[in-house]
Amino acid sequence: MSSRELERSTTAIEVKVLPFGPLSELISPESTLQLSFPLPVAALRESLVARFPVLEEHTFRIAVDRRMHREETVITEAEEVALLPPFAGG
Amino acid sequence: MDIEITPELHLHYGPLPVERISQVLSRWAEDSRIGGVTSFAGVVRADKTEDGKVSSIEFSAYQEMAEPGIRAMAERIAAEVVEEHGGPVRLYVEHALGPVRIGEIPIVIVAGAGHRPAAFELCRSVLEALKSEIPIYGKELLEEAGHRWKENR
Repeated sequence: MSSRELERSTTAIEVKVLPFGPLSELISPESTLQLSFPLPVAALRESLVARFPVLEEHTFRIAVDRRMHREETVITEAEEVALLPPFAGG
Repeated sequence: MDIEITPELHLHYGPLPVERISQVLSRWAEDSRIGGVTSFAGVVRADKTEDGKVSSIEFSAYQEMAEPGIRAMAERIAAEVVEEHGGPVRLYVEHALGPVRIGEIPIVIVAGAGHRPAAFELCRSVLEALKSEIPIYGKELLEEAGHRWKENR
């Protein structure tokens, strides 16, 4: 990897944060977060809670680009991160 | 392939018409392999909470994830049911978005199979998986004022 590529890979990029259900009343749907990849889902969760402290009081799953992952999965890129409280369909 | 999932597997704005179940049944009547059809309709209930009585539920979803999610889940469960009971199976799933009042229908599942065990199992398993796996939300509007968020147990 050239130094230029390395620099690009460690640069923080802006990711959309999409809150759903009850979280849509607490976090703006226009929110964004600066993230550097690669990033394990558990670290992503910590970044989200640091940026939106209200999340500490809520149970939520994370979908990265419309897919849910295990906490240990390493995410290499993302455009949108959805915050998904317990589901209520049916 | 022994699995057929009807294309009307989707999210629908507003309450679902009660005729939906008979429409699906009529359409499947021409499939002479089907010997049993079971259906489920969810109905909004007038739950009483400490803050008041529920008058309607406003459903919302992460649509870009929910629609492909319902399809993938339905295909997975249909394949499991065929593995256990044999085919064919047919499945129809529809969920409402937007406001649905007491007594109205936010979800319809119709499952058909050669014999009843597969039809019952498919209908129930798809319903349970939808509740636990698909990002759909329900804001319960209360009669007096205010709201609370529905949560599946």
